[in-house]
Amino acid sequence: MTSRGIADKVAIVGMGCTQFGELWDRSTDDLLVDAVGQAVTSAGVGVDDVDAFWLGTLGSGQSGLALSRPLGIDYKPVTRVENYCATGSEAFRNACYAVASGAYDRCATR
Amino acid sequence: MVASILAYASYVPAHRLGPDSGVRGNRAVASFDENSTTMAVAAARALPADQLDRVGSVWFATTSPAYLDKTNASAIHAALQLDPRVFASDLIGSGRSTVGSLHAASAHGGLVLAADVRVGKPGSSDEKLGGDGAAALLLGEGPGIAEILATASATDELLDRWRVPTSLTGEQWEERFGFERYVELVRATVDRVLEQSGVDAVDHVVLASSNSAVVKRAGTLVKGQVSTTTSPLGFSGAADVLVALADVLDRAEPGQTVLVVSAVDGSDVWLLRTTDLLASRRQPVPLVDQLAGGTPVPYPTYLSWRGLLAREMPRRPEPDRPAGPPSLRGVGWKFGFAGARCTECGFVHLPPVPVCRSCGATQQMESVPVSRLRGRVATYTVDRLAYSPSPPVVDVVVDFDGGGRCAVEVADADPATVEVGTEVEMTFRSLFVAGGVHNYFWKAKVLPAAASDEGSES
Repeated sequence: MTSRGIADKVAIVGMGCTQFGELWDRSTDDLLVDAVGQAVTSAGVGVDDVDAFWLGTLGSGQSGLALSRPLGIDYKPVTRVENYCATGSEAFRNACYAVASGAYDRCATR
Repeated sequence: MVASILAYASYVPAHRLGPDSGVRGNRAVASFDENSTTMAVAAARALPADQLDRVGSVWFATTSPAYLDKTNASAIHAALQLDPRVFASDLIGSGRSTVGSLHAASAHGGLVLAADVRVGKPGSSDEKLGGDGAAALLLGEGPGIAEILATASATDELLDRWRVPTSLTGEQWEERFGFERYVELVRATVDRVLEQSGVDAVDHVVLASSNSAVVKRAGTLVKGQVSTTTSPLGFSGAADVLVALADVLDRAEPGQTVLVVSAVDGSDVWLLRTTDLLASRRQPVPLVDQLAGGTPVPYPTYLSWRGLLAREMPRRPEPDRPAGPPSLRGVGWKFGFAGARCTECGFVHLPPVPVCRSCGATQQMESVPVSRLRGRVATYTVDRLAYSPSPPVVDVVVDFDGGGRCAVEVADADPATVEVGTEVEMTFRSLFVAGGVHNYFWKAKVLPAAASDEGSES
């Protein structure tokens, strides 16, 4: 079977980014809430409109709870991705496949 | 100089040495999750809450500090959720440090706290005659429960009791040597105080000393018309003089004189007179009741708590030590047990979270103090497999009066006393020490059946 790739099947419709630095007074919870908030706001939707999440992190928190607990997103799937320096792009790549496959309409990745 | 004592309280830990230790009587010992800091917090929390709000400074005396190079009183300050402008400092070393705290607090008013964990070598007199505990004394402008009439002091360089900082247990010279010296010092300072104040005979004498012969023969030094007493807790180091005073304030009548003598590296004497307010401002539970009863701890367990016996540890990973930055970010929760209430819908979160569990509002939270609230057990687990220096581990989910629910461990747990609906209050403890860092947090403590009938503490 010939693979066709997922070009032109997925669009980035929102984005958020926090400050970088030694942020002593901000926890992972604060940073996640901030970044997700910015992303959904820029897309003109709410956190409730996101169907599934991919969290990329190396060692923060425990499993997908690191995202679902601070955001309070019960009943939404969260996939935790850990791949050293490729963590970010790996989380993004898998979220794209989820949309491209038609399984979900909107995915958030961070 | 402020001249009034506004409030007092004592704290005795729940455990006792049992018959298998060879020590008779009711020798109180701090639990594995207690230290001088946590016991000082417990004593302070027994003071009326409205008085604590007016504290201008905190002076913490101990001979068994949890930390050096780092202030311990700041953790007490955080646990009591005092205003940042309130000064808090330690006075470390001996029973005389407490006298120093009293001098410091009487300058402009303040809270004096003293607490100790007293360790003696197995079979020693320090093990037998010592006691772990804490006491609090609030000084300020009146009206109070007692007025300070006069004070006198003598300082003496005496090798009677000592301990090098690296040693867990201390030493004493022959008790008769110190006794003979203290007799002279005590009589001289007492005479000066009586002369200053014009009082001939006093009603109560409270004598505290690091010398065991002085304590045994207290009646031969100074006598009170109504009572001559020493601390019922045994020698509790820095806490000794305040514990002994608390015992007398539990039972003194208004208008009586109390002569407080601290014979430690000299002699320090205060003459007090109780007021009419004392009758209505006794501490909630008298010291003798705090001391009565208690739970015996098996002797090998006690020795391992103090590091005197190395026991086989279970095959479990060591706990991580608390990290500085998250401890600071979460200081209100970790040290103060303050939750977060959503300002949109009022839902109380324990621990604080950024997004409301109930209505989803983001970062719309205000801090809400919970440490003084009582709660009821919603459900519980008795865990006999989890590692604990004092098994079994009892975990409870607590519903607090006024809102909020969280899961915590039970302190000084007796599984027979924990049921759904059991009433609990919170207590400040050191969960464990990992990597040289004390992991402070709160546990639930089962209220005795009588206390839970009385409703919330004032």
